[in-house]
Amino acid sequence: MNYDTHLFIEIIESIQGIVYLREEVEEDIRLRLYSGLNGKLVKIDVSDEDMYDNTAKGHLDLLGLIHLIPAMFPEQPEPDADGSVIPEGEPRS
Amino acid sequence: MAEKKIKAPTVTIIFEKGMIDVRWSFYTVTHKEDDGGYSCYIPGFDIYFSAKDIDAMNKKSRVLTKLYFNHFLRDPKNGLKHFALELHKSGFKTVGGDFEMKQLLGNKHVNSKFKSMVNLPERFASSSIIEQESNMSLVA
Repeated sequence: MNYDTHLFIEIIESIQGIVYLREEVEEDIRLRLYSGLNGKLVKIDVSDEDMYDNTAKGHLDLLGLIHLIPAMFPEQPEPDADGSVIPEGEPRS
Repeated sequence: MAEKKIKAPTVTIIFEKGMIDVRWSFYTVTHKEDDGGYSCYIPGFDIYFSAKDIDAMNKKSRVLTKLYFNHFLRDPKNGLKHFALELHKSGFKTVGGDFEMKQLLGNKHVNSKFKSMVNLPERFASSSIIEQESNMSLVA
């Protein structure tokens, strides 16, 4: 999987307006409930160490944090013919 | 080829002999990831989650929806009124109309059925769909 669940939780909890409500647990499954910026009840599965990017993006959408997606999931630059990747803004030789 | 009909998600609340029986039918849309796992979404209940295989996906979708209901039904601070309101805000409407909804808002024990009126978002049109059901009982 792609995105660290703990890091994801730390990021959203650092944002003013996102309110943690409670955690519900059954067997090995843990669900955390948050109130998003739009007042929506958002359910986040925190059972695993990681979650897929698609899952994390879905949570951000529901939380009203869609504007964070480009920064949290930057597009990978296209590699050159020799396989090297030059960061955007740096001169190419 | 005929398009597969998907049953709209429903939540049924039945009061019987001092117990509340909650049954829900729903479906999970899945996208297979490069490593063989699944990113999943439960329409109506608006729950995103990840699962490493089909068994984990089946288990998680049942338990996550139940834990979501627990938040309302097992906590007296939330209760039936808030549960009905949350379902209504999520696009579930009482089949019996507004009268049934108003009874629930007054915390009255009336048998009711909610049906989701929300269509599957366009971006999931080509995803795989797995239909499921589950239920829970608790003291009224």
